[in-house]
Amino acid sequence: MARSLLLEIGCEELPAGFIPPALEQLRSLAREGLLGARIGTAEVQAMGTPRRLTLLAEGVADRQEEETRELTGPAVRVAFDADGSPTNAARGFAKSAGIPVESLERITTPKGEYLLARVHDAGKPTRDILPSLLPAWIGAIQFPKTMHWNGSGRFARPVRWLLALWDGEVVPFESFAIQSGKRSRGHRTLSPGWFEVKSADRYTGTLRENYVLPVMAERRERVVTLVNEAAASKGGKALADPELVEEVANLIEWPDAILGHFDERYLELPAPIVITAMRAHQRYFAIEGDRGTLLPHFVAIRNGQGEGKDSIRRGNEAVLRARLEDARFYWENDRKAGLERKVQELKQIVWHEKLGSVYDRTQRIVQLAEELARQLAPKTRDVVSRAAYLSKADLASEMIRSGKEFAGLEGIAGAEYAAAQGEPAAVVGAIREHILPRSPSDPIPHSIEGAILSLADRLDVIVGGFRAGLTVTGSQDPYGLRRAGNGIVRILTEKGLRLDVSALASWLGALYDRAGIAARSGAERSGETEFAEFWSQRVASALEEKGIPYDTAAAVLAVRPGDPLDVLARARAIEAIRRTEDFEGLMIGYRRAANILKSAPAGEVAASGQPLAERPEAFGDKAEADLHLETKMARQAVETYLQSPEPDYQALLRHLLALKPSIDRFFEAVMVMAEDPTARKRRLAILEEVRQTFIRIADFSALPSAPGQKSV
Amino acid sequence: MKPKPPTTAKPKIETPQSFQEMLLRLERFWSDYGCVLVQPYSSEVGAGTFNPSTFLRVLGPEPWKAAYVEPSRRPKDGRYGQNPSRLQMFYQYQVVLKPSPADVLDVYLDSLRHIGIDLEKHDIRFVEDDWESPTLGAWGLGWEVWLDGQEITQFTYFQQSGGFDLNPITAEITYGIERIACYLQGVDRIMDLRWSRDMRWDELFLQGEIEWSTFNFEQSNPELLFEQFEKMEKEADRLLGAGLVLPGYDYVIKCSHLFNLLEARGAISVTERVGYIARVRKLARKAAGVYLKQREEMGFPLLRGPKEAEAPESAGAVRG
Repeated sequence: MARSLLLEIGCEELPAGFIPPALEQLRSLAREGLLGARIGTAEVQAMGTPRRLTLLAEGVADRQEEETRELTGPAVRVAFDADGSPTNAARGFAKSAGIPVESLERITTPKGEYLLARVHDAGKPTRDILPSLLPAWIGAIQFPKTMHWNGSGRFARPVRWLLALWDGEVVPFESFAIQSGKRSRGHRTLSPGWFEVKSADRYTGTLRENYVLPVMAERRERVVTLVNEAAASKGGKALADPELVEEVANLIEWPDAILGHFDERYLELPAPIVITAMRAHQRYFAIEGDRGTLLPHFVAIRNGQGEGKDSIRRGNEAVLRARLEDARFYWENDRKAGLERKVQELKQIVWHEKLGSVYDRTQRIVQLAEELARQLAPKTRDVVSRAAYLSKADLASEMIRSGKEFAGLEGIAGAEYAAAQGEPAAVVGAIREHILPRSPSDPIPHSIEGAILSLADRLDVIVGGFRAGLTVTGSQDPYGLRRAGNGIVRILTEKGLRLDVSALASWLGALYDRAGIAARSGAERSGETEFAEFWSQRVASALEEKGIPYDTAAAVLAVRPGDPLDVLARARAIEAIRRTEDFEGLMIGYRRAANILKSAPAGEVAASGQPLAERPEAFGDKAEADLHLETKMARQAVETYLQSPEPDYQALLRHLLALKPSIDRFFEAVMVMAEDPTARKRRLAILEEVRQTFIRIADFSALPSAPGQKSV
Repeated sequence: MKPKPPTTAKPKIETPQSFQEMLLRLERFWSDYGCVLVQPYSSEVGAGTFNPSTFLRVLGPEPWKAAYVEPSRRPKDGRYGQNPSRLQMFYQYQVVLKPSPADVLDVYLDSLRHIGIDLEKHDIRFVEDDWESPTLGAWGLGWEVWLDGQEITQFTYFQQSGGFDLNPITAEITYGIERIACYLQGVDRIMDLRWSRDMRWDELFLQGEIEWSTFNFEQSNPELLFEQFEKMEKEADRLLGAGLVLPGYDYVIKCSHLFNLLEARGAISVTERVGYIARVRKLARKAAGVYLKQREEMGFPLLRGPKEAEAPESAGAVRG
């Protein structure tokens, strides 16, 4: 017979962001736990609010499934003595398997005959298993931050009750010094006492009676409906904000909307600032009118219902008024000062003690952005230069320096100030966009000017970071170098911009040198080695996201890693033929050549770099002459393709594939490491020509041989 | 299924008519709960946490329940009495409960009812807020408590103090009492609060705000303050080295306040700031260590009977 299992972990208010991941964990812990315990289950769902994490499993079998396990024991030859009676080895095995010695069977394996125990497990009633399963699940939930409260263990916030029901019966166990029971609690003020839940299947209904909507999706929908209704009552619509809906739904147990108002004069402030004042701390929803302009109203979601709407509205309005008043104060002071003065004030703000002030950084970004404009879009130079000059000015504004919720408006505030002082729209747009992408989910800049500025900003963070001796290890990345690197790769690949980032990094390095900002003492070549390694990793991770296997990525990144689009094109070309028979055959020959070159005495390969005689009679064997000539032609073709700004690597690889027969014939016809030093050096020289040609595309020796083929 | 009608509120408690009436109610409430009403510390502190009744008492195994008003000095926050909600000196009402009782949030909510906040008619929230004092080497997890969107209390489960892991855990409740009083009296500006039946806040404290702001921002003597800091730092170290916990910690508190004054005066740069904080923290750690050692040598005298686990739920034992 199937039953229902309920577990509610009653907590003090959990941080909103902790709830969804905890529920996801609880669900999979239960699903895997029941499966592992051979308890069939129809459906496992998790639900929760700030005060409870709940698991509801339905259609749970009331017994473990029975099972027969086969255990292999000692070899038969040691299991019985001369008389044929069982030895200690056999007895011990039977005992550990829990069956009589007479029940042991035999099994024949390639290694000989062994004892076999067939152990039947009839399975126990589920109710006997649950008391050990539930506490283990609770203990296995991970949170970003945990605390102690009574010495009984750690959790995100104190656990205050445990409701655990197997249909209507309590599953007895203890966690956090609390005995599980039938009791739960409802909404803090609308249903302040304890109540009993009669059975697992009546859980959601009982909670609803006590002003708790335990299902997250239901609360989310309710929030959306309430917000939309309230907005519509003012003839507007709420700004779509799924993140805010998710957060608000996890801050409450029983949503109700409060429609509030603010003085229209605050609408003179730029919309992002007004929205931030409402959203960041207070989690209010902003409302816009027909023409997409903000209305002087907001929707707050209250936890509760009934009386007090007026006083709640007044309280919330008062808080918002104070926040908007702060914003207006900053806005006016900053505008009065003007961005030009703010740029000068950047001299007082330390960017990094070794890298100077934010003003110094601005100077570098201007030069770098101009260089980028020269390479990528020469016509944008003036706009890019001006935007770069103003791009960090908002860091000196009171709006950002206040440390209040508006500090998150970096870039956006700068753009608003630039617009307010009449800067051209393209400049304003570039400032607004240069902070993008801040995270993998952010879009990249739309305009080319914004993209160039973002690239310059990020490259300065990285090159400067390595110069200052910052390191990126594991989760340690305080200056966000990794994020900056990923941003550069994304902008270049998504916008289809060709740029040799490694070369540009060296260019920027020279700028640092001229400014007298040396690398930390003892660092090799001003952090360039660190940069090279870091950059390869960033591009490799972008390639991985695009489905390029690690070894192909390593092969192409060993050669000219600077331009991500070029690296990607080479990787894709190789992937397209990598699993063909021809290519694998070619690789056998190529690896053989590479291995011989690697193991050859150092002087001999280096010397073989000399041009070879063109007279066929100079070669000992026709196969040598053929390979030499074919390689030379292939090399010429490769170089011709590489002249193109966007080489056709697939066509190029076909030229390499065409070398396969001559390579094969070469190895059939001659022995490279011949006794005669002249022949040996000549053959090594030919192989080196082959290698030099291949390595223009990738380090093919980094590609492991396909399974089943032996490398030579 | 429809929710049953909300539980009818307990008999309505009248709203206190003045700031001091509200304070008396809080004192009454926590006195009835069993707290020691220890009174403010006698030297300048930035928050009730600095009072030895919190900073030292949260350390070690001994139980402790205390409540007190703490005049809190934040020189940087002075606005010459011009800003309706920012002051260089304000009052906190501080409650520390060690070990933290299982129903501590219910008890706290009861205390709000007791000062006349009808919770059923308001929106009360516990919003995640992790608290840290780099100066004291202390941190904890907890919430800002919101009443209709306004922060009225900081609630923290202390995890560490003076760099020591704590066990048992203390619950610290810090009421922002001017904020709550404004709310109860329906005024927007702290200056307009009725302090007693006959006196308003501005009549009592406005001149102080003006003078202290002038002192903090314009008149304080950084040279003297730096010199005092150096001397007090040495003295704290010496006294703590001699095993004198309370005099030694007193000097740590003085260092902290001198640092706050110097910062308000703009005499400490951003880079130096971290260094000064670390110096005070080092002393705070030392004070904590010396205190723990001393209590241990005394045999932890407040540990009467078996070591108390988390206090049992007090289930409505508290009635005004």
